[in-house]
Amino acid sequence: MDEIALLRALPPEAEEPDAAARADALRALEGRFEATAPAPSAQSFRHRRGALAAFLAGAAALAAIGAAILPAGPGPRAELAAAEVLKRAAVVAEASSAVPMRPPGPGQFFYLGAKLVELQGWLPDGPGTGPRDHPRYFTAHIPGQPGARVALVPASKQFWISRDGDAHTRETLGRIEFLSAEDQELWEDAGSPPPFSFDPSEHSVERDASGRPVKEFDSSQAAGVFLDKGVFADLSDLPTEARALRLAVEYPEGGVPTVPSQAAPRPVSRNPNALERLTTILIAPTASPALRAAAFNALAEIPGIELEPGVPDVAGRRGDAIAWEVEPGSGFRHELIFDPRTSKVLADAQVLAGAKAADEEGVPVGTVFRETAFLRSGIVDSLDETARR
Amino acid sequence: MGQPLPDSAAIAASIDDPAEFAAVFHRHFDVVHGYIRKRVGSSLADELASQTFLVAFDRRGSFDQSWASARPWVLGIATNLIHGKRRQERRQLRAYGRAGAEIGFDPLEGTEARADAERLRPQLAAVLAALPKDELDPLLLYAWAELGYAEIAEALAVPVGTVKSRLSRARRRIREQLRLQGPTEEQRQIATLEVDHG
Repeated sequence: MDEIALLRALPPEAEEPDAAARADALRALEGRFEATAPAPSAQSFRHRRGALAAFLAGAAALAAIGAAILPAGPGPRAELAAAEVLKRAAVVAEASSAVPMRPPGPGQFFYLGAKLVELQGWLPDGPGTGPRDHPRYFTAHIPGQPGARVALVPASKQFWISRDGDAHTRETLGRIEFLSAEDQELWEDAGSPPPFSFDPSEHSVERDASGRPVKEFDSSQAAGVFLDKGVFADLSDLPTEARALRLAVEYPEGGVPTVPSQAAPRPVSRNPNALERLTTILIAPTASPALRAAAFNALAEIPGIELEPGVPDVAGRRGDAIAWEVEPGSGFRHELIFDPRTSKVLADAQVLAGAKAADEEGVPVGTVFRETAFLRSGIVDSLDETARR
Repeated sequence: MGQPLPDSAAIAASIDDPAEFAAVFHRHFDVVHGYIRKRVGSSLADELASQTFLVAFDRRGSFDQSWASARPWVLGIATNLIHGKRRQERRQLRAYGRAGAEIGFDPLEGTEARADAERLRPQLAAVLAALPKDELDPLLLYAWAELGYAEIAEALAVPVGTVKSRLSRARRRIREQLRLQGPTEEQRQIATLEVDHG
């Protein structure tokens, strides 16, 4: 027996790893998949000002040489550009072979993996609220409070939703992003307090294999993302012709004007509820390709929607965004980022795009206020499974 | 369902679609877990095996696409993680030195050989515990993870010649400490062939 044979005889025969250990390791890895940006982006998701400036500069240059198709900045030409891009997305959507998702069967779950980021306020010099022994440095929002700072708090969220709407949720905290090195130093000097929702003194928070705070919980009703808008909504009754669809979402309670849909006038103003319903249709997994195409075409007719090409989402993917001011004068801009090659919605975001909102939050114009990137979804057979796409 | 992608293709695809990396996990997790368990014991194996694949995923951009299999690469990552658990590894080796000989022997080995192995077990464990890591790593990747020389070189990011010399030095130390006979001329020739084609 030589030394190698002796060595091979030293440890016990290899056993199969425990199935639970393998499943835990796989889930930790899948959590990392969700949290991963595909490639470093020259332009951060968290600040859109770069995209807006590049867009304006490029458009100005094109305008100077007489380019007629591309927009020349926010305004009517940006709206025309958005309409063109939306119509092209409608063609892509209609050609899709995707099958609308059906609600999960008994024992099955609808899985959704998403990455979210939210601008949160915090107080470096002391607790904002909360019990004396567990001071809360972070709160959801501290507008205008003296000394308050803000940070972008990212989290990966995974949802497993049963057919009756009960949800199992797993949330993993990402790396908090500060708007300046000084803010980060203040946070570290304060003892690196966790965001409120991951504070172990207030919530049941564990650590995953890579040390990131994670929490898992069941809730009787799925909330957040688009889930509260009816993830399993039956959309089969909605018309798949663009103007008819627009009228249907503008008048959800009925009372649609009895004019032929082709003759329905273009809207003269934006109806916030209609916009919300159309974007929900584009995100909903139950929407058919024809309905999604109609939603894109309906959006193309609504005034005040502008194009922002090449916008990165919080997961690092790049797509075209259509954007509109949430309410006139609010300073908040709603963005829907989609992949023009597939028409798939990548992310839904709100950005501080006006001085009013920025002044109130104490942060630069262009900062993301809240964003949800949709990563993977599908029907799975157990809580150990995640969807591949 | 299509054929799973080979490692190099799965890792390349995972740059844009992270989920493709799951193929690497499914293909190598058990081997990596088994190797770690042998080195540091069961209690740490779950954690380190999980970390190995997280680190591999984070570093997937640096994977050498000319290698079809990712096994040496992930075992190299596991080896680096084990370095942070040297104390536990020594404890595990001491445990092997104390353990009975019933487990792990080839039933085809003769009674005398089994008795030798049993007798040498504590000394062997002590020699391993004292080996420098640059000799221990190639030795255990060879003996416990069953990698060839070129694969060990890939795992440890050193030239093949360095692997051969370190392995040779480690084996010689064991033979000297355990007062084993050196290889016969025939064994030496076979070893030379293995080295040349390993």
